[in-house]
Amino acid sequence: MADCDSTDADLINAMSEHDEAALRLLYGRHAAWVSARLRRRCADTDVVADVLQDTFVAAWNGAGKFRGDGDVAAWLWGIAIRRLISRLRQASGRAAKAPTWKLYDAVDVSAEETALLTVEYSDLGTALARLSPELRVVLQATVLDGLTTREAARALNIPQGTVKTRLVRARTRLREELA
Amino acid sequence: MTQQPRTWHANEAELRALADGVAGPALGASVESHLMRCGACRARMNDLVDGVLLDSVWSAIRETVEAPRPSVFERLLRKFGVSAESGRLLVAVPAMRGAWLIGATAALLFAGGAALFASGFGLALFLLVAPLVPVMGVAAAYGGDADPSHELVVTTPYSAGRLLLLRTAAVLATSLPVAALVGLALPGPAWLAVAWLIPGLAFVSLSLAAAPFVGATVSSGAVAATWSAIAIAVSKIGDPMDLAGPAVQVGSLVLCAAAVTTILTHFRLFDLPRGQT
Ligand SMILES: [Zn+2]
Repeated sequence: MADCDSTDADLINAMSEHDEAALRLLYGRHAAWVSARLRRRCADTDVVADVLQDTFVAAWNGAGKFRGDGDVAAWLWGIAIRRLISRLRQASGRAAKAPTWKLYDAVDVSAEETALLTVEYSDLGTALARLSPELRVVLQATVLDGLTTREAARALNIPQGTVKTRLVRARTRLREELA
Repeated sequence: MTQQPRTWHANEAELRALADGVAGPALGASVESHLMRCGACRARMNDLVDGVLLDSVWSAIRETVEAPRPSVFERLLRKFGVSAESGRLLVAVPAMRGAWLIGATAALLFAGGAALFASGFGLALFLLVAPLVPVMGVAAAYGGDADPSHELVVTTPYSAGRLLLLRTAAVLATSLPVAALVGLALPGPAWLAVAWLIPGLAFVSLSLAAAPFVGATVSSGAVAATWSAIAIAVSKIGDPMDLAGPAVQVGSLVLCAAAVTTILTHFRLFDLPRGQT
């Protein structure tokens, strides 16, 4: 039986055998951060709630397909971000021809934000702060959200080739920064 | 939890900035990428995120996963244009779930087998049991207690009469071929295989006609008891073949017509709960 001591992978395993208590535990562990990450990408609370629901229902239905060695948090976020993208695309398709949604804001990093970054964050965040907005959103879509270049191109509304060249440039810049 | 040894975690202000949606791209990316590696910090997010939203989404999730998933048969029905609601009600018929069908098949096989070995008594048994199979199926399909979709029936905006007819159609569709096959396997004239058909239909329509007044379980039980008494009496004093004879056939046709007329004229009764008619 699933309980508080079960690992995430155990919970997914129990869910594939229709254990609802396992789903409840998984939701308790992951719903908060998933909703916070969704909320950063979409201001509409109703959409966030719908996508959050879709994500855990999809996890319930797809629990049998989860690879035992995979990371559950990354798996859940992979579902959530893709649901959010398709949901936003649908909504914008209905509203107008031009995309009315923006998943990744290509804005400059403010001085306050840079000051907030703790010294220990010598990884992605600090490096991202030094990139131009266009390069940064490509890294956000691919590295942070785990999208393929094809999916990132759709999410950013730019050609796939542009995603690839920007990714190469961003990586080169990052190597210089982190060296 | 972490993939590599780390001595630091996201601090309260950073997590709160992410939860409140005010973290900029760089801070947000830092905290998010840390969260993906750190279960402890993910757990700390629970106190910072809107609990009301999480609770309401959870109830929606629970409702969705508790609803039975459509079976292969249900999806097939939907492909043929049966509405999702009708499909679910049809599939909820015990006959469709197999248990009832197995019971009915066993009873018929028993009766058929008896007919093979001891022609007089066995034939009577088959002719007694076969017409009752559809009636018992209707009673099983409409009986509340053993039916997990009972709640569904109660809460569905479906008229009880339409539901009864829908389920009767389903029961007939599953039970008639089984009974006919068993009948064909019997020795004797081939028409025996279908001789019980008219009595069977008469019994179904009789119990349906009486169902709004006394309930489907009582009406089908009464029909079954009456027929059994008649069948036993006939086979004791005369020829078991009389159970499939012209008198029974004509009598059944008359009863069937009367019952159908009653159903059609009092159809609205089906919509009202028993006792208010
Ligand atoms: Zn941490």
